[in-house]
Amino acid sequence: CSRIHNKPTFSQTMVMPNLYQNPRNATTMDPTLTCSMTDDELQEYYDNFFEDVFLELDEKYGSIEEMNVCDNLGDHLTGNIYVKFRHEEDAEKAVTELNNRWFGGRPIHAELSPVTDFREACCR
Amino acid sequence: PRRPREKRISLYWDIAPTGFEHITPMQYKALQASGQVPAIGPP
Repeated sequence: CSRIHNKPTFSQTMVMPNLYQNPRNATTMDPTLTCSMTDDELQEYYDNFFEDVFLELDEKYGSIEEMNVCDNLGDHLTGNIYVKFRHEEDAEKAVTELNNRWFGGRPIHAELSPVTDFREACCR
Repeated sequence: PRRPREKRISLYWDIAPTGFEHITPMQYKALQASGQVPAIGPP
């Protein structure tokens, strides 16, 4: 994969790269997290994160069809959050507004993504 | 079954990096782009 992906002008889907920080990932900078979390604690941490993000986006920007969090270690995928809204306008509005919000002490980067079917979203 | 939960105060949303509460996220990203603050920093 060349990783040169086209950025669509309109899309139902947006991506926020590197937003989720897995406590087990050594590059995590959040000092309140430790790598000694048990699997259950890690799952709870993830569930809370997912719920927090999902509810805020769904409430503020519009109905979400699907949301995925990448938890692998590829540089370009770590902690990426893909959100597919029901309506294109909602995705557009979310991208514009999220780029001017903070999240956990970091600025959010948001952009539209060409992904529409997550089962086909494999980089070839 | 999943029990309904009250909306809690978010741990993450709208939390600015310490010391940068006075600038906007867009301004902060410009600082990152120009190398004046680390690209990935601690909260």
